[in-house]
Amino acid sequence: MTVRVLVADDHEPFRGAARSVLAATHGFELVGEASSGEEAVDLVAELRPDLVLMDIKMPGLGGIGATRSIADAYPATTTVLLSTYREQDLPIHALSCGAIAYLHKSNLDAGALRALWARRQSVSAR
Amino acid sequence: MTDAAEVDELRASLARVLAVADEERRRIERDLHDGAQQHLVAIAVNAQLARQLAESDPKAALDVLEEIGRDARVALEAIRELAAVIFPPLLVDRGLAEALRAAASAHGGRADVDGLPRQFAAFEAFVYFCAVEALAELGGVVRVRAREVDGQLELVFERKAGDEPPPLFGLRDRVAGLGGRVNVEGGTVTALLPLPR
Repeated sequence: MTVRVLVADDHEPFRGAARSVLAATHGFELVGEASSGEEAVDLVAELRPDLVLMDIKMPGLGGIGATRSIADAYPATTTVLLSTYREQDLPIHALSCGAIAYLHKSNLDAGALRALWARRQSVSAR
Repeated sequence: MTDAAEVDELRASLARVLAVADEERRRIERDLHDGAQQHLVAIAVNAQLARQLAESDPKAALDVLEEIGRDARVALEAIRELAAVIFPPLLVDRGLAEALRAAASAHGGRADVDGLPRQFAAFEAFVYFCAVEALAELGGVVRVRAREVDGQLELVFERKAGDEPPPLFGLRDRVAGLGGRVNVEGGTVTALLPLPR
């Protein structure tokens, strides 16, 4: 199975790096990119990705609001929050908005993607 | 103005100065987050990717290294620009006159500052940031003049004829902080600052 991934971030440098990582990671495929929370919700409705890599700090709805909307309306889609915050500095709702995990952006690589997906499968198997 | 009114005005001025300083800190944080930090994150992600690809696909690894180089250059430029806004190297190296020329030019105007002697570094910095504040608040300044007159530094901002200046709280607060004053006549704003003794 190929995991279909949507990347939501308002910064092109990170989206570019995520594109490269996904292109080089067997079993994962980039299906769309969003640059705001609202756009992420719209693209999830349209593309129904398996996994969303969601930046927390985005204009408008933001990553946490978008994650909440996605978790409510599209529970089959898994969302992982990303940012450059240290875990202890995360916004208060980051851990209760429906995301299965938080990943520091600088740690995005093939191993992290596989570990996150395995975690999603263990969560959904419970 | 009565003593009580003066105290009220000073308190209001101090509150505005502190609010401006807080906003400036937020702006610097935003600039760092939206600028250099994003490129540094991309460098970290791509460095890990290049390591992963080095053996399996060396050509792809080279492409990623190129990307890392581009991001590093953009991050350096973003940091240089931000550092120049926080405290321009020109001000330290060449003094107030050159820094005023650069600031006026950056706002689409010019500066007549020939013959302006060097002053204490702290005073030059104070005057420079008054000028930057005024240029930002006024907008559309076509000419900045600076000269020493009777123990004061006179800083003049000329706008296009007919433009009514805004309240200039930022400039007034800064100038008042040094015991100076601001006069507005038509499109011309003049700040008079006592020279350090």
